[in-house]
Formats: sequence, structure tokens, C-alpha cells
Amino acid sequence: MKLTQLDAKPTPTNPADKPVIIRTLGLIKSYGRGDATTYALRGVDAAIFRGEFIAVLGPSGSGKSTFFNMIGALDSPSQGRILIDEVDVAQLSAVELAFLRCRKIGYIFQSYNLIRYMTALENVTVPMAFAGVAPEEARRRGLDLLDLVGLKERWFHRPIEMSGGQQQRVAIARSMCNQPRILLCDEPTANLDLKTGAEVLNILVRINKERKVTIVCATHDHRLLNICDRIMWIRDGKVERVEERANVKVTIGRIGGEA
Amino acid sequence: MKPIVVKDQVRLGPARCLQLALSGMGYRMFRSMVTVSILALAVAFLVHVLCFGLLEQRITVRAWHDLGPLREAGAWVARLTQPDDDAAIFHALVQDRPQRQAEYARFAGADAATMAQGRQDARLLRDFEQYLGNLSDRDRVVLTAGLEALPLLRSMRDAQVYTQFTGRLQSLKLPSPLGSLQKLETLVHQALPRLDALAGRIKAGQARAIAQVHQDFPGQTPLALLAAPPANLEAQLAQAGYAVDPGALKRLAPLAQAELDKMALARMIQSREVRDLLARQLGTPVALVNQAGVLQWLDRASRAQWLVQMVQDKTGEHPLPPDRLLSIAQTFRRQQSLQAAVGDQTFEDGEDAGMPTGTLWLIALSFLVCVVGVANAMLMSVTERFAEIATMKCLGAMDGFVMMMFLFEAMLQGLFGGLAGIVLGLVLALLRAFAEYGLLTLSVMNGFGWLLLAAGGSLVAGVLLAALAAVWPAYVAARLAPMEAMRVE
Repeated sequence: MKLTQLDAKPTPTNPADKPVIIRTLGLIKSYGRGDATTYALRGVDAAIFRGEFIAVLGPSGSGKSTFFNMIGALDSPSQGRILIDEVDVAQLSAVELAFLRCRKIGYIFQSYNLIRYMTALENVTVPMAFAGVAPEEARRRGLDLLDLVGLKERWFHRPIEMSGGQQQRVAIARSMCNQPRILLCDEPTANLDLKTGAEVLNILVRINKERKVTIVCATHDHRLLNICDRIMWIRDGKVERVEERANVKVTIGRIGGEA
Repeated sequence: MKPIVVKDQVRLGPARCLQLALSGMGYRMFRSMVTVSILALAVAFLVHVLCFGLLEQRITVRAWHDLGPLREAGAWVARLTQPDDDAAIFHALVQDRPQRQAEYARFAGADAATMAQGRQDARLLRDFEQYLGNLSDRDRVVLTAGLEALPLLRSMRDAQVYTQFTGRLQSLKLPSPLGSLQKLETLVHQALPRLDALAGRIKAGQARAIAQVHQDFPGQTPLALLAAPPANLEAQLAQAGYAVDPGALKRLAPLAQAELDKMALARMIQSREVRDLLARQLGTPVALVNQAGVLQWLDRASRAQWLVQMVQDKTGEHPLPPDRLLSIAQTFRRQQSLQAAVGDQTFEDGEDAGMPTGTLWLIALSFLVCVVGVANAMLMSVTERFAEIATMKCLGAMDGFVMMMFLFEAMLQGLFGGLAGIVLGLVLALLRAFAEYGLLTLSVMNGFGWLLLAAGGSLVAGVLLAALAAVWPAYVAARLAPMEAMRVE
């Protein structure tokens, strides 16, 4: 029934015409030591191309989230290297890491992680404050970004006064405020219903196409597989397969290598 | 597309940081208020204990000084009645009161060298008393066989008793008194006999002086003499050998008169009928009707008039006039409250009284409670914001910024909580002092400086503690990789 070949080797496809923006080499993350050591990642070699929209699939506990945190420089690997545009993240100082997180990578989390006592606009302008943008300029850009996600009229609302979809849209606006080159989304639609999830995905696609932002999206959402460029499967802390979407036929309940 | 270039993140100044902290506190007003309230309670507890301790100490010392004339009057009555006892003489010899020493020298007819020797001997005796006082109760009882220092030393002149004493000393493994047994022997066989001889001469001199005063003013009790001092009393006393402060006797006269009046009152209420009626009026059993109870009860003119009228009707005597009764009752109640404030404490004159050990322990303990309370409040308020710290780090905040923000916030909360706590603690301390000592409290309120100093110290402690207790967990959270901090819930 599966149209893709199950026994296909993981192919770190890297055609010469596609520049790599994130590359991992032998990425290992372990917790504990000695006999009690557990591995979240067991040597991940992956390449993510500039400007692509890649979906990362994998069952719970597969190491998907760990991988996601590693390439976002939110956690440090036990072994191996992470290169973001040929810059080794492990070599960066704390100050440079803050710069990277602030301006080059945007993060979107499953649980939105908005700061709950700030209004939508203040949530969006916080990273700009960290980047040293003047408050008036930040306010102007923040309103523009809220307009992009369709929430300009609700800029004064607190997260508690907004629906999940609206909160996630504020989070997208926040992640975009310093014009990042990479957007990392960890299950962005997992807590949302179908309709609001679709809205969020639409915004992500627009960001990808219009602003040429590389999007890495860990997900269980099948609809996302229709819009992404490539799909990466992670299982047991390793990259199982990477496929162009064109080569994968998506059917409800049975997608590629995942039952 | 341009490649990614990584530079240093800009550092934000304290002003921007303070601005963010303030707006954050504004939004989390309710949570902040909870933290501030806990800080306020902790600081209030400390301020309360500290200030009440200070107030109490000052009130006690003040009351002791206010009771000075009464003690002096009592001392004069005693001196004019009978010679001092040995222990009192030895104690006075050690004290640094030249007038008293000169008086003793006159009574004993002793020269300066003898008195100096006496003081030295008395100091040796005091050292031995202190040595006994520092022993544990069990050791002391075994060592002294239950005797006081003086009788013990006197009995030790007997060689057999002395040997028993040193034997007990050895078996208890105690250090020898006065540093060496040789000194103890000196005390027992030389110093103490010398002291006893000196005391005997002083007492004989005192007895002669008392007899002299009796002869000069025949038929007058000492109290009556003091209450209405004849013009030549001061001169006659001085001639008899007493050291008299000029003007002191005039000052003591009203107090002696009040004592006389109290004795008159005691005679007034002696008869059975008067006591019965008074018992009904006071609502106490007849057996409990006494001078002190009546004086406590006599707090308005109508009662005094009723009492005088009633005593006149029943006994036909002429009792004290009502206004005299009222005034001695008032003096009595004041003396009672002073006496209650002093309790059984004694202070040497001119000595700066320290706080009682119990109060010091209480202050130390309340400081500890304050530390724990503040630390707990700040730990809670920071720990529940670990996820927020992690989010901020994801958005590009630097460790220093996060810590600075929490530092500002904690110091502001500490400031507000500390101020509220000071007001609360001071008010409570004053209320409690008023409840326990009444208007005596007002008499020590002539300057607020020391109270404000104590309160200010507590405020500084509160702010510093809050800052320390908040910055440590914030530092821990900021140092973690964002994802690890986010995992801590």
C-alpha cells in the first residue's frame, strides 16, 4: 500500500544548487551517565536547505523535540556539531548565542509561550527591545506584524483574553519581529482545532513564500505534509528517511513510513 | 541571500531594565502584592520584636531611675534604724562609691590604708562568690554542702572542713577558686578575718551614730524624722558621721510623708466594722482587705469621701482628709507600675543597661524568621517564572539582563514590603508597650531616633534579603539552557 519504498536508505540529498542553512554532523544527546545513560539522539546527520519548508515527523519520544531544540541553539549537544550557515553553534559565546536567538532564529512553540502578563503588542515588541530597537519604532513594526497575522485590532489584549489560534498568531508575529532567517516550529498546530490550525499554517506558508524564511516544523499534522517541500522522519534518535514531498503520497491515516 | 553573520547581542542599560521590571510589576499587580505582603509580615515581625525589646529596656531603666528616691528613702530609714549586715557592707566596699567608703571609714575610724586593704579583701570575696555562681547547680550544692559563700568560708577556718572542701574540689575535677588554692587560703585565714574585724568596727560605729541621732531627736521614728526634717537634721546627721547629700533630705521628705500616710491608712482600716464595709465595697473577702487593695481602689474623689465619712462614723476618729488619700493612692499606683516594669531586675547606678539575654535571643530568632520568610517569598515568585525566563532567553535576553530585571523587581518589592512592615511593626510594638506599661511608654518617647534606626536597619535587611533571595534562583534559571529551564515546572 505504501507508495514509497520502506527499505530506501536515508538519503541526505544535497544537490549542489541548494545551499545548506542548517547542517548537523553526528549529533548525539544523552542524559545520565554510565549504565543509566539514555540517548535522545544517536548521531543525527541532517541538512536543511535555505528557504525550504521542511516537516519533521516522528512518534513521541523519537528525539524530534530534542533535535528541534539543538538546531535552535536552545540546548547543547553531548557530541557532534551544529552548523548554522557554516557557523558552529558550539563555538559561540553566550552573548553571540543571544544575538543568534534574537535576530536569526524565530521560535514557535506548541504552548505558545507568550508572556502572560503582557498585551499582544508588548509580547511582539519584547524581542525588539532585546535587539535595541527604540520603543516607538518597535511599536510601529509590532503593529505591522500583528496586521500580518490579522490581529491588529486586538493589540491590547492579554494572552488570557485570546483563543489558542490567536495566541499562536501573536507568537508567529513575535517570532518574525527581528526578521529571522529561520523559523523553528514545534508542533505549532497541536493545541488548535482544524480551522484555526489551518489559519496558522496559511500564515506560515505565506511567510515561507513571501519572505523566503526557512521553516523547520516538527508536527503530527497531516495537512502540513501537503504544503511542505520536504519531509524528514526521525525514529529512535536517528534520521530514518528524508523525502521530497513530491515523492510521498499522503493518505489519511497512513503516510509514508509512519503508520 | 546574505549569509548569516553572528555578532554580539546589544546590552541594555539599567534604565531600560528598570522600565521593563516596573511594567511587569504593574501587570502582575496582584501576585506582586502577595509577595510584598509576605515581605511586609516578615519585616513587621522583626521590627516588632526589635522595637518592643528596645522600648521595654528603656522603660525598665527609666522606671528604675524613677524609683531611685524611693529606694534612697528606704535606705535612710534602714540606716537610721540598725547597722548594716556583713554582706551589705562587703558588697558596698567593692562598689565604686567614694562617699559611702568615706562614711565607712569614719564609722570604723579606719585610715586610708586599712580601707584600701578592706576593698582588696572584699574584691577577693566577690571573686569567690562569682566562682560559685558560675558553677553548675549540682556542682555548687555538692561543693558547698548547701552553704552560702560567707558561712562556707567562715567554716573553712577549721582545718578539717578546709581539707574536706579541697577534697570535694578534687573529686569534682573543678578548677581551684581564685586561680590557686594559695589565694583561697589567704582569703580564708587572712582576708576574711580582716574583713570581719573591719565590718565589726563599721557596725559599732553605725550603732553609735544611730544612738546619737536618737539622743538628738528623742521620741521620733526615723520615718517621721525624714517626713518632717527639722532644720538642723542635716547638720546633726553629718556630725554623727553620716554622708549626707545636700538637699537630698528635702527631696525625700514627701516620699517619707507618703509612707507615714500609708501607715495612717492601715490604722484607719484596722477595725472590724470598717473592714466589713470595705470588703462589701471592694467585692473581696474580708481577709483580703488590705492597704494595697484599698489604695488601688481609691481612684476617684467620691470613693475617698465615702471612706473618710465611713471611718469617722464607725470609729469616731479623725482620719486623713480625702484629697491626701487620693494623692497617696495616686503615688502608690505609679510606684506599683514602675515596680512592675522593673520586676526583680537591679541596675548599678551609672551602668548602661544591656538587653536581657532572652530578648536578644528573641531578636536573633525573629531575624531568622524574617530571613526564611523573605527568602521563601522571593524563591516562590522567581521559581514560578522559570518558563518566562526561558522564553525571554529564547527571544534573545542575556543572563545579565534577566538577573538585573529580577534584582530591580526584588528590591522594589523589598522596599514596599519593608516600608509597610516597618509601619505595622512599629505600631504593634507601641501598642503592646502601651498595653503592658501604660503611660510609662510616653516617658521614653522623648526621641524617635533609636526607634527609627532599628526600623531603618530592618528595612535595609529586608531589601537586601529580598534581592539576595531573588537573584540566586534567577541566576540559576538564567544560566540554564532555555530548554532545560522551560522543563522545570
